Amino acid sequence: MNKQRGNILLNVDWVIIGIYLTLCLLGVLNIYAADFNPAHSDFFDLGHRSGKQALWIGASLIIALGIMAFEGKFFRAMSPFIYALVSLLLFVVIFIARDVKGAKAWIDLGPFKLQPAEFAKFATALFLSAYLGSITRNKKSEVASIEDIGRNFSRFIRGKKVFSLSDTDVYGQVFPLAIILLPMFLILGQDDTGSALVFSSFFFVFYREGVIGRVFIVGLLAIVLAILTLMFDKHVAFTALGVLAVIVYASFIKRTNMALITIGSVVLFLIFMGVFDWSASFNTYVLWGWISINVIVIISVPELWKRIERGVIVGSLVVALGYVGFIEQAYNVLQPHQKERIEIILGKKHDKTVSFQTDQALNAIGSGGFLGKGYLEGTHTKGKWVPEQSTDYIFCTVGEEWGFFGTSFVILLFVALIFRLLQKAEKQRSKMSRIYGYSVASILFFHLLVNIGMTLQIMPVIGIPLPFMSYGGSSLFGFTALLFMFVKFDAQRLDVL
Amino acid sequence: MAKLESRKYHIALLFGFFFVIYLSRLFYVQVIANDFFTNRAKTDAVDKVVEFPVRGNIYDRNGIVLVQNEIAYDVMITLRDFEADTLRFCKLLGIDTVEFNHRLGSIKQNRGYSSRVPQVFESLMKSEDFGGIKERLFNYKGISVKKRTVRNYPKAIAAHVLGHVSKVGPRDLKKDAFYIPQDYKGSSGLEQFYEQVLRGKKGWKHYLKNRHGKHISSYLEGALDTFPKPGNNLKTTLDADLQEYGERLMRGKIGAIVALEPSTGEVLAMVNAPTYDPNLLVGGKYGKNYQSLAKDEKKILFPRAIQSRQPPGSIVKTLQSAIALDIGVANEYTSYRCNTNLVGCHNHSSPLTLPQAIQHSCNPYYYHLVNKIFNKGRKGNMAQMRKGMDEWEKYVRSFGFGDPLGIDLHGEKDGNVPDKREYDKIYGRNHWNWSTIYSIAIGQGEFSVTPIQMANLAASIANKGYYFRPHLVTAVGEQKINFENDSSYRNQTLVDSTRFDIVQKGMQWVLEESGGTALRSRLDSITICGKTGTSQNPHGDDHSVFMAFAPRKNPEIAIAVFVENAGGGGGTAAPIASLMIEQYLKGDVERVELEKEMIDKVFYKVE
Ligand SMILES: [Zn+2]
Repeated sequence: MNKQRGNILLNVDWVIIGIYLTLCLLGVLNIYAADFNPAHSDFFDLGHRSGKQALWIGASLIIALGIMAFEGKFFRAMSPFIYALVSLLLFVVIFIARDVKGAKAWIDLGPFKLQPAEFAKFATALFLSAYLGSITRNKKSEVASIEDIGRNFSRFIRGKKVFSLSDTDVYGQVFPLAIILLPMFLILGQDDTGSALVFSSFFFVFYREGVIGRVFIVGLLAIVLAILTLMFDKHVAFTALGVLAVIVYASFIKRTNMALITIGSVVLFLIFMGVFDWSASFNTYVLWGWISINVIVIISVPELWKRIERGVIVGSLVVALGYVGFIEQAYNVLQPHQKERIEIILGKKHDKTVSFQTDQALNAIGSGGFLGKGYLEGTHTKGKWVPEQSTDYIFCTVGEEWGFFGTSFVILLFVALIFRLLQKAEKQRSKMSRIYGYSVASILFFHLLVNIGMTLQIMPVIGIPLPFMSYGGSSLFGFTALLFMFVKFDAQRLDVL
Repeated sequence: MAKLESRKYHIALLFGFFFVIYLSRLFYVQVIANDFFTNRAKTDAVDKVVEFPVRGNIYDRNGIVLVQNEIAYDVMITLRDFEADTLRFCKLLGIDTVEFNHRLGSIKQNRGYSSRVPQVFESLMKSEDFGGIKERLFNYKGISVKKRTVRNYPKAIAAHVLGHVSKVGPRDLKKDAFYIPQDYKGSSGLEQFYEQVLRGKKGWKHYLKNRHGKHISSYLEGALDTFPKPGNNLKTTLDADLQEYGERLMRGKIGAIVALEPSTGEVLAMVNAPTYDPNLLVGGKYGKNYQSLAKDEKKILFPRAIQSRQPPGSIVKTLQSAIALDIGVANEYTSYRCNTNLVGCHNHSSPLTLPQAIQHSCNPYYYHLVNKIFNKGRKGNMAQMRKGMDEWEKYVRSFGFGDPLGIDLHGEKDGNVPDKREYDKIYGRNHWNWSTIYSIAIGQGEFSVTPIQMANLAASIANKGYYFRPHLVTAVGEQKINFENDSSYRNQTLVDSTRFDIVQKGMQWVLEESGGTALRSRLDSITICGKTGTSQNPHGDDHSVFMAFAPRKNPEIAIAVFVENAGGGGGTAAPIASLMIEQYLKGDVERVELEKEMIDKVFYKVE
């Protein structure tokens, strides 16, 4: 053990750390541009956001080193206490925080404003993976008693496998759900809807770990389809269904076929969704094209014939198509004011100032072109047209000043990071480390999806930061802790936690 | 477990799927739709700020400034920063709080209004008004000043001719892309006619503005910026001294004077009476002053010299004589008795020869003479009458009657030369004869002309049979207008040049021979040829008309004077014309008593 600890620097994943540092650096550079004032252009001036962010990065590295200095076991043991402490903070904040931009999420600590919600992701991920990691399953169903809980808890702290329970009971499903719902509701109590929604990213983890079954997936799918139908168009929902169907087929068949079908489906979907502006008749063609492809795939791939699932897939596809049509019809019979409320909830309709702001965000990105306008040359950025540009809308600065080159670079960095996390997670020997890895990847993915989607007007306006890049100490500290905890686990992956 | 194992692919696929969507959305927004978003961004973030060009000056023929520019001030208010004791602020600008609130209300309606951007509160304050309140004004927060230029008329003459500028309206904005809402454009006189050359070209500065409309820097380092190009100056044909003198003589009268240079068609003076100080229609007081001028019952804004259509009266007897001589129905010695049974006349010897008929303005003489032009001695023949009338009409029109002469001003009227169709219409075909229409022989009835056409007749007679299109501008900027190639510039009348000596002799006698109708207006040192006229006015006293040119040899000035309700031409119009000729040819007027008499002759109350 001691020998391993000595080699910890050799065992850390430098790819993850390298991407992390690059993103932090890009972040502070773009914060400097977003907050640029030619009259006071000192980069490291602590009166400026770039100067402060540089300071936060320094502090984050200390946090990272601190995490690396402890044993993974220590954090595992501490996880319930960290979780409890953060939950308490979240609760307290509701009562002591001042109202800032509609949310009561910040604790005033003199020069630094602490946002506990940013640490709640880390605390929840840690506790959830420690908890799920310690469960072992058997067929025998037991009723949990208070004594059980107390006994098991003390074993949990000592790092022993404790729960010999089935995966359909309180321990296997209700507790994990409660672990993510508690901070989620506390954050909702702070009127910080964006941060609360982030906790829904744990459902990816639940899915991977089998905490939630197919029924849940079907329910989730129903909600997503309803939102897609109402937000965009039933054709978008149909297309999404088609993609999903292909993914499902793919899971039944050989890898090579899977790759081909996936690539084909993604390309078709892109033609439809992103690259071209759609017209109604074009949509219809694509839709029928989709349905045909699905039919052809089912008929032409022999593996599918051997499966009973085939019927289930086709049947559920038909049901889903009907469902999407039903949602649209049901929506159409609503009263205009009811429709309007739904549209506002979905972020489809804003009051004028909000849509002006999101339009400006898109103008900034769109006017960047392929190579951008150049660093510190963004006219929209300099004109402060985009609100919150150093925080939630930092991606606009990248888009305007660095163009498609910059935005795709940032996205690819995140893609590399997230896939590296998924890959590393799957390599973990310890169940806890794997779950934790999935948690980190899912949280980052959710942030990326919502934050960038918001600037691109394909997501409703939900104010959450872009990880590692948005201005803000709490968020950077939270993500650093989140990420480096995994780096630590990964460095110790040979240990069984 | 194996079943759960496959779920890792589902998640990876889902993540990958969204990443590709996002990348393609980015590609669409940034690369494919780049132009669209660049334009949209520019519309919001780039402010085009206009730099107004200086309007061209207008000079008289000797280089005296008639119209120039002076600095005026737009008082701007930035509502977000504005802090003031409203009552005191209003007092400073001389308005009441009702007006103050009204202005704020309309400012907020401005296109692209922002409380952080200065808005015009008081426009075009003259420097003399502004100077007094400048210091106190700058003490108010949120008040700034923008310099502009307004027209200034140092000599305050020729108001109708020079015209005025006024704010452009929605129709101008629609019709001409040059204009923006803050623009002014010429809306009468030369300002209007030469708008295209006077207005110059606007300069544009491009600024990057922030969300609040404040400028943060120049856009693209000024690569798109342009400088304003000043408008061209106009060199006019007006003689400022003569114009000024004419306006002095026309004080208290209603009418017009037009003086032309016969050898060029240049307008030496164009007096419209009553006139006004053109400086009234400048700057912030424009609206109020324009209203009161427009409402005045004397129709002050009416440019009578080119728009007032009146019967020419007896001055057409010169024209009738020339036509009769040219057709050959008369010679110098053709005599008629003054038979006042046919048409009224005044006391004079009888019979008269042709020049004497001009001298005495004998009405019965022209009753006979024009009758002869029409029927060529075949009395009672309607067909001949119609033919004769056509021929006469052609002659008359060749002197520029019946159509606008084409001066470089908008709104010139045509006047009316009666013809057979008109009489057919009034009386029915062939239900008229000479006794019905004889009044056209003496320039009454349906015959109507404008004062500039009267002056043009004088010029045509002075030139012995041709005239140059009257015009006011000879050079735009440094560029002299080339009239040589302009086919409508020199106009030949149908009367042969040899006929005019006899007419001129009669016109000279008008002023010089005993019994002439304008004896008082003679000038010892200069031979003036003239002809009086009385334009019959069914609504009141007759109008006094006189046309003349001088000197008889190598004429330098042709003039027409028209004074409403002043009776016979010899009494008022002729002395004024004579004084104008003296002023122009001698540079000074020696006949001070006549001058005083004329100036003091007023037809309405003069302040
Ligand atoms: Zn007579």
